[in-house]
Amino acid sequence: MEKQIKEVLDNATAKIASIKTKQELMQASTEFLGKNGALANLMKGLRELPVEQKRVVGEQLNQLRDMLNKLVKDKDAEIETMLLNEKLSQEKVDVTIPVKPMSYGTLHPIEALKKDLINYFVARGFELKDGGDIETDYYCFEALNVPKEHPAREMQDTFYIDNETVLRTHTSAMQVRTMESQQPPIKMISTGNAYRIDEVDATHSPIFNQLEILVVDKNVTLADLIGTIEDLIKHLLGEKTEIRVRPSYFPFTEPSIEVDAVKDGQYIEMLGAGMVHPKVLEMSGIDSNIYKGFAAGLGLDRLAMLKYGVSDLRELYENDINLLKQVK
Amino acid sequence: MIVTLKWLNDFVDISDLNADKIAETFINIGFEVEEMRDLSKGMECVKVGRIVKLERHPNADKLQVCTIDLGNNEIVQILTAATNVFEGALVPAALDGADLPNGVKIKTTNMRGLESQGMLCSGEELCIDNSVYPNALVDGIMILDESAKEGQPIAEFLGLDDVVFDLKVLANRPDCQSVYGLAKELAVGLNREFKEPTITYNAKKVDLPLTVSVDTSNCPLYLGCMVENVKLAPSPRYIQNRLKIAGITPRNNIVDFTNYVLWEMGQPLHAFDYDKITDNIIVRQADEGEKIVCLDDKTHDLNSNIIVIADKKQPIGIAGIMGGKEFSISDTTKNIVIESAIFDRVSIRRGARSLGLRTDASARNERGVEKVSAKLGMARVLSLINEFGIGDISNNIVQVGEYSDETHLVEFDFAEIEKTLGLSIPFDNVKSILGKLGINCELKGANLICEVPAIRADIELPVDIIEEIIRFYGFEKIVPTRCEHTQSTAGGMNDLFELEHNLIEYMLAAGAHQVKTYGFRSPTEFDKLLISSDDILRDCVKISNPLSLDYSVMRTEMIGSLLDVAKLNVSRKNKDIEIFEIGKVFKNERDTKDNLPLENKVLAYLTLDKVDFFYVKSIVEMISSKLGVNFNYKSTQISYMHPNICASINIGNKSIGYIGKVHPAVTKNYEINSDCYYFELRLDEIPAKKVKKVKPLPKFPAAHRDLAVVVEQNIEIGGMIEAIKKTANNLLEEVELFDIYTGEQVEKGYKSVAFNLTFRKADGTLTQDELNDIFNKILSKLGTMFNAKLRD
Repeated sequence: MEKQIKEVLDNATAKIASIKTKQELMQASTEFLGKNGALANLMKGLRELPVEQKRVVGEQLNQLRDMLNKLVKDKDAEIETMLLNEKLSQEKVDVTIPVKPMSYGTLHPIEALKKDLINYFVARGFELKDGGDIETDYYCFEALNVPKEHPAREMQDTFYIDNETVLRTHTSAMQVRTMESQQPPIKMISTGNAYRIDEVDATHSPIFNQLEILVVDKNVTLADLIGTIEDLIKHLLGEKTEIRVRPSYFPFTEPSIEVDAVKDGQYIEMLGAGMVHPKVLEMSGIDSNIYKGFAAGLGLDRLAMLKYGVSDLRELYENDINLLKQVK
Repeated sequence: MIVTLKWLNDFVDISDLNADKIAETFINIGFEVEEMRDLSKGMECVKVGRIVKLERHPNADKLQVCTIDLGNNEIVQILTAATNVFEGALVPAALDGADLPNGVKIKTTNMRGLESQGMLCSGEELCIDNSVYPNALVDGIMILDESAKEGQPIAEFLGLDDVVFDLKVLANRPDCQSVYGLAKELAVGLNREFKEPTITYNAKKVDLPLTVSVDTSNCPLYLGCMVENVKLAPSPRYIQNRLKIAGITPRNNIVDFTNYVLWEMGQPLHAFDYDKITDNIIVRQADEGEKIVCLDDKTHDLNSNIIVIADKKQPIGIAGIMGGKEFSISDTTKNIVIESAIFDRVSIRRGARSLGLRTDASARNERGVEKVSAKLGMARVLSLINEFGIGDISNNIVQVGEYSDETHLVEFDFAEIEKTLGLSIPFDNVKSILGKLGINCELKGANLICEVPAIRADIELPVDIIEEIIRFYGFEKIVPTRCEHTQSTAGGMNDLFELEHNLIEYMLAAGAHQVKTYGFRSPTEFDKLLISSDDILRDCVKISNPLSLDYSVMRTEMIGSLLDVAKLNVSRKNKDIEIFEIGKVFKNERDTKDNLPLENKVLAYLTLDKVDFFYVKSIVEMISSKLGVNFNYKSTQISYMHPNICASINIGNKSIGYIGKVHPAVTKNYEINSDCYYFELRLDEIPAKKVKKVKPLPKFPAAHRDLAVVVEQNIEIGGMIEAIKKTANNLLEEVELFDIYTGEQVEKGYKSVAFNLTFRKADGTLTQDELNDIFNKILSKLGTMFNAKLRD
């Protein structure tokens, strides 16, 4: 009997080892473990054995069953793995095949710059204010210390709707509107279109974009203005950028300055700025004996050209999809 | 404003400084250098030489061998093929190393066995013409007159040894529209002494009478001076050269002197022929319809806003703008009147505008000339006439109007300087800077008292003084600070900005590209958009002085702008045309507060790429979902949209925009041949986004039922869904359209519509009976409202 048991085990081991498919395994399982299989046959022989042997052999047969079951189970797992590997091997993808990227829109270069600047200033306690493209002569000029016939009006060739209504020549128009509507402390930015009579060419456009900055409080100085502008320019052009401050003239600021960025030995004209003219403060209902202010106006078009490497201003307004798509 | 290094040097000694240093100084004190040009560029190795010997070349018929004396015992040999040279002639000799203005480089060469140590130059090779030197353009070598000296640099001889600066003079400094004014600033900037020009002359009693009457308030000061027996001749060469650099054509000594003083001192002057004047000079407003022929040979029609200088018969000249031809200085002129006057700058500006004239004189008069300048200008021109002995100067200058050169005072707390600048400047520095600018100052207690000369009318307030101090003390001395002493503010933006920023994000997520277009457009656009003649959209804000018709009206709609962008991209065969803009439209309707036209922000989207109404609608629905407001859609008609594919977008009953296919006739007008879809939303009609709490997750299971009904083809699905929602009330969680079918199994003229309905109760599981009940109610409602029948 012992010999027969070993024989069955050897047979089963050899046979199952050579099996490659689930079907063969099923057959082998029936052959050894089935109702009429090798194990069942041996079980039948057990009955004829004397009682004292029955227990020993019975134990041996139980072990045989366990071993046969394990053989089948292991083989089954092996075949599963094999099948999975086979399937995986057929699922190969060429990861280098190019795809069309999922579309996500792009901001216009000027608007991208605007967004950056708005975030920058709002985070620094500035309130964003909106103003009309069409403005009264009063807010655009008179209240900014540019009375009618002032020579400074020659600096800004103006589009008129009627005698008292203009397309604003600068976002500075928002200075007085802001100061009229609130008392200091004021930290305001405003951005949008400005209009001046200029033929369209590579560096001129009758419509352009500006960012206006206004701070009014006690203890505001020109040094604060210069520091604020310096930080802004470093934010825009990099930490290593230096600034150069030159005297300038605007009727609504005194002293007035022009600030250039100095980058790689080149001077880049950035903005005009200055201390809010006391007459402008007074006309806006703010006591110039108590409060001082500074204001700056930054042109965004040329800056966007610089930032995105656009050499012709017209390209910013013709909106070629192939240019727009490149804005990051 | 054009100035030159040498001209400036008349007023401040800068002979030891190079042009870059001068430019830098001007920039630092507020005068931008728009151009800097070295007139002698290329003439560095070109000298005056005298041909002392001229021989034939032994080996070349066409060459002559010149022995050139360069002075200081320097003799060179130069070969030339020119035939106009002769022994004793003075010529420009370009020597070894010269890099001529025309680009030719000169080296010592061997020509047929003889050495040539340079080249004799023609005017053309030096890039000069007859206006720089008479006969510069003769065929052959330029022969110089005997005033040239052997060895003299040619640039010096030609008056070209100078550097020209074009400086930008800001509007507040009319006093710097002159070499004199700029040199004064430069002297302070360089901390050097300023030299006043010669303004002394000999005058005597003259025979002829001169009377002037001023009959207008627009001429506050008039000075007139007789000069008799004038000897007209060309003016000295340095004056001619400087005038040419300034862009003024030299005429004769008298005219040149007046122009020279205009440029040098900034005072417009005029000289006219005394003998042609009938009786006395009258300054008055012109009569309407009066005419005058001016120096430009044109007849100008005058009006009553224009000031004229006249005699009793007719205008002599247009005051402050241009002189009359008949009274101008001519070969027969014997006695002249020199005029130096101040005119109201606004009148000059308006007058020059109305005449379409802009002259060197009017440019200065428009910006304003101070009275003190009139006196100085007159003295200066008379001193030139005296210096060159041109005529007999009257000792009686006729003056009409008051004139004073009094100073005005500006007084303020000295501490205000530091309060404004954030920088403390010692009084000694302040006093020194202001002193050089002609402003005397002293401290009286805490106050600084400044005495400002009349010429600096721009200085009236403490801040004006403070600006002058820091301009010369140097902005670079200010240590930047960061508003450390101001109060903190919250910052932020209002709801409309918030909405705008959100909408931009959504459009980017939808894959659209943002564009930026001009807000003014052509009125012809209305026709391209098929907008009818009585449509309110045609009532637009017009620009009274537009650049051109194309930019003459403020847009009343956005679609034209986006169609133009699409047109450009189509013409360039670009793909992926899916664009948006948040732009303004303008109404010709005034607000009550400022009487300004109404402006509204509009989100506009256009695509030629995603040609499907429902795709575009899905973007609008995404916006609706993100904003948390429900939009509904109603078929509508707009002239430039497809008559059957266009809907208004509404919140409740209020229209906030529209969506649809652009009318094919319109797209064709923009040279676009493919289908085009468009939507727009008016930002001011959209409520601010509110943060809402999330709904709790359901505790009880949902039940799903499909509902397929057959209805007539023209029934709108939207109405059916509304009816389903209303009927099922709060038991219906979701209704989803999953099929619309027309075809074989459905009767012609009908369609089958299938919905997936999701029901759920908040407080328990729905029973079959409840479900059947609600389902039947829905069915019967659809039956009565839309004649819908359950599909078999």
